[in-house]
Amino acid sequence: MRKALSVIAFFAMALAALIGGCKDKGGDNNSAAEAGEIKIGVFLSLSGKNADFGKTTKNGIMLAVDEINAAGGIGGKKLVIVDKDTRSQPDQAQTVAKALATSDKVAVAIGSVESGQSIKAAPVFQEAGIPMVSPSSTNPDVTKQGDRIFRVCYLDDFQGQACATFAYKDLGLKKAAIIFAQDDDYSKGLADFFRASFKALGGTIVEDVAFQGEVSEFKDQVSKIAAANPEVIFAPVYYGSIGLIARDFRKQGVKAPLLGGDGWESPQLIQLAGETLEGCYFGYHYDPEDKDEKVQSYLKNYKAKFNTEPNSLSALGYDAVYTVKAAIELGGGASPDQITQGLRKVKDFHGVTGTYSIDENRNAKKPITMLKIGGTSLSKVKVIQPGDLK
Amino acid sequence: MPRTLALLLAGVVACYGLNWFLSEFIEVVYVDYVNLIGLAIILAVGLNVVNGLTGQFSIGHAGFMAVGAFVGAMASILFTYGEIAAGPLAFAGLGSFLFCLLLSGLAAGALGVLVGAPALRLRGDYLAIATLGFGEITRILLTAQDSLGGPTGLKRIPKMPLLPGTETWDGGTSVFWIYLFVFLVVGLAVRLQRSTFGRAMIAIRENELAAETMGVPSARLKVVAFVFGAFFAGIAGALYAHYQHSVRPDDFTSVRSIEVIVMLVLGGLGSVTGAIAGAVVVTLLPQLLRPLEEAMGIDGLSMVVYALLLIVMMVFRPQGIFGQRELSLKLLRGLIPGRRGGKTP
Amino acid sequence: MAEVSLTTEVLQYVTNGVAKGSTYALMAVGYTLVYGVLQLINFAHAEVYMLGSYFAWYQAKWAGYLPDSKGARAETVPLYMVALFVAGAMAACALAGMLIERLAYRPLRNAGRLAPLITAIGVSLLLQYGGQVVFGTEPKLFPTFAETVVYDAGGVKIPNTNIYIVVTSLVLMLGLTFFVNKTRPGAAMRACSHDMRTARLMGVNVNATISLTFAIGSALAAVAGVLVAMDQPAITPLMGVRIGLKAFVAAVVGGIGSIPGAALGGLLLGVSESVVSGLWKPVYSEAVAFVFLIVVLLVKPSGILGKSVREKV
Repeated sequence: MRKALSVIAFFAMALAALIGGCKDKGGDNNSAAEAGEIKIGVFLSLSGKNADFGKTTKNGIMLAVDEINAAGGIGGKKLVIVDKDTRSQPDQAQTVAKALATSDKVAVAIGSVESGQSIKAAPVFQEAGIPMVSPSSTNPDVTKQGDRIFRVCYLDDFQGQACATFAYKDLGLKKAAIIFAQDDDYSKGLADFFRASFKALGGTIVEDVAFQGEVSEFKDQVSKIAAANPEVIFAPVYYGSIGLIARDFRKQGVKAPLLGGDGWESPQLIQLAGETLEGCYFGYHYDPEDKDEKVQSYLKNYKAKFNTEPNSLSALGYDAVYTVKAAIELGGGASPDQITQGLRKVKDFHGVTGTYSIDENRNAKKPITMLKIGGTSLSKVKVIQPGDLK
Repeated sequence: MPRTLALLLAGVVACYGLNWFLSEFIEVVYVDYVNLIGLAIILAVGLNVVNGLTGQFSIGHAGFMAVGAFVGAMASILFTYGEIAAGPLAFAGLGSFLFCLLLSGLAAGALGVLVGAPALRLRGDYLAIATLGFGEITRILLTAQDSLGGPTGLKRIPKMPLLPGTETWDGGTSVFWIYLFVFLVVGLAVRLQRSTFGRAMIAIRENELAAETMGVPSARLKVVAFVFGAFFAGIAGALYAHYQHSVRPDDFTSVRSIEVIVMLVLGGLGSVTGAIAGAVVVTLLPQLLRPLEEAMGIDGLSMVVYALLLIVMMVFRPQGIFGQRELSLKLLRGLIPGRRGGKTP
Repeated sequence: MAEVSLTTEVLQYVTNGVAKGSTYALMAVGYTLVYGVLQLINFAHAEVYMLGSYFAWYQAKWAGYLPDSKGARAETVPLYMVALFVAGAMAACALAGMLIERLAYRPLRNAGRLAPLITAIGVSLLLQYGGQVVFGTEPKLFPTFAETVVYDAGGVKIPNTNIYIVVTSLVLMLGLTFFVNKTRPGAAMRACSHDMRTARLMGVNVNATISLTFAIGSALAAVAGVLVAMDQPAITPLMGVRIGLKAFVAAVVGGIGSIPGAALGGLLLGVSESVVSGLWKPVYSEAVAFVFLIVVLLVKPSGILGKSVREKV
């Protein structure tokens, strides 16, 4: 009897799934827009190993959306967020992208942090004719996946070059070591570009150490670098790792400054590293001490809404939404095509992460701010504009 | 032979029909699930020959899949575009696509010999760990290959060839190709299970020493089983690559290998229908739980519930959904209350 | 800094590796004990290790030893409090381990070997994702249990945390060996691992012994969790995944079921990883662990110190 029931239940479930899955032939992309709403699809790692990236980005996005809606929306239309969890798995990014593109029929998609996920999702949005804006995927390949794929962050090549130039010219350090994660797109990308431009400038890379896997222990890599006696150590990793790496370097008696990219930024950075990162530098999107009204109001509102400090990913998520808003206004409407057209026209957009334009390769051209870590605070050392290099 | 040919033809027609039906009436999201289930079935049914039939505990299946995916993707990119570069996606040619699939199956199969042969010395969990090691080594080596894209892997892998009379939205033709191989692997697995080879494999599973005494060439058959599983894992990898249009080394972590084992045990180890049922449940469940998570607003909840369900299902049905039995009309008749019998041996 | 000689460099990697290997060994014991008794790969063991760190973290939090968010440094936790926290984490993990066994493995005691393997995977996933929901996903700073001091032994840098790790692991392993070989509950464990049915016939309380096995393994994992967190003070709900896999490999290399084997396997793995990282390429150190494993298994299929099981006809 139980068996029979379970078989019936199984078939009932299958049938329900089938009916639920039937194509809604009448719908088209603009039905939501006509109802006075603009649907924005969001796909991020909200669980799994990179959940922290997704959650902070989502906070930034929600803050921007709430602000825009509180101010009356865009042209009277409210923004509606449809968010999907990629579970930190690149192939899930493609599955949820299909849901966003075809079932939810979003007008524009924002995601993801990890370049791997953005690369998997990009062909779906490209084929479906929906623009996709990545807030923080810095790998050069992301926007090469199609002419509807955009991003609002700077690229690995620019950031790597900027860090190399800063170390060689501004700090005057000629012997560098690199430590990076071989299996992480972001880390490897930055390391590759830093290496190339540091050598081109005339510097030497005395040690080049890659690690792999979910490493939380860097003793061996650090010993290896310590033996080479570098003047500066480039460590393009995320904030969860840099504290541990810095601690290991100081334990081994290495006093050379560490240098990194925007992945370092987090309210927890100084806490996780203790005093070990004092006097180190990293490239970032804005200066937290900047008196700019936009930056300060963003910091204040974020703190008020979420009761924590924002990180770089929150700021990029925030700017991604406002860039989409600018695109809707420039494109003259909120259909996927109009937003795509609008995104291509974004010029001198003034956001929290700097003033930027979207270039012909659909990437944001924006400055990088080099910050120095003090006891408990960050201070601006230099702003590098895209035009400053080469 | 004519019967086989007729069966094959019927399979092609059925796959075409399924493809037409799904792309005509079903939402793309659900078609995506169907495709993912198809890929899982190819992996699970292939591995079932190794784990279920022959009793060799292998958890390195993702390694074979990875090799197939990268070989097939690379070959397909070179055939279709002639180089690795940016640009819009194109459809793969029919001939080159089939050739690439064959190539990836062969590459993975060859690796199956390489892994299977020395691993013969090992038994039980030791074999399991050695195969796990093989899978991880494959992934780590792939990540370190800059010529294969390093950690980001290969991108812009062409779409599967277009079928006459189908719509072209991305994924429109993948159902046909994926289920064609589902049909092939299931057909071959069933044939194998009923053949002398299959019986001999079962003998090895039940008692290797006794089987050897009876003249079963256990070493050779174990390698055959490995190669069978690896060949289809390679093809599944290549299909996956063409389906997703990009592959990364970390698409093939040990987590994926373990997932396939979960499918087998959940469905009932040793049963082809069990492997299929397991593939359906393990692929579908985490997706069907998404609305729950979204309604509750707790990120990650669906995977928590999935893990719980996995434990509960195993505790209440340790032999798996189908046990070692196959789904057949006879078995179905036995399910109808009030009638007796129908238990297939 | 002076040029570092090759010998010093190698010694540096070996000392790094010994510290890393000690934590592998502590974890490997947990796998080996359970495997010895139940022939089960307890995938959830890695998550018990994670729980150990979090239990210690929460105790320190409640006792007020966490730094505030501004990054001001909190005071170092006094030694008696550290002892208290470690004992608390061990007790909580022992309980968690017994609970996992009772709920997920015991109902499947007679269901063959694969069903409990799947529930083990299920428990592991449950604790990983559940941990993310309950503890949060961001890395948490572990409180300072000991001020870092680095000793310099002829150019070889040895942080005090490494010494704590090695000494604690050594003491615990010796204690465990004594317990298993010289006490009555230890004898019961050995009897169960040898032949569970006969042990039951001889009056051994099998269920209690299995619970005890899980409790001991889990308590050791808790210690490993705290030791590693002292050395690398950022903990996350997924911190167990990698060390769990490594420790299991170590247990197999050493000969699964054997306690000295687990210790040896852990050390060998740790040292070979470090030396490969240092002298060749760190990228391949992960692969080396597995190559090493496969070579050992091919040469000696039952691990270095494992008993080879003769097939009965």
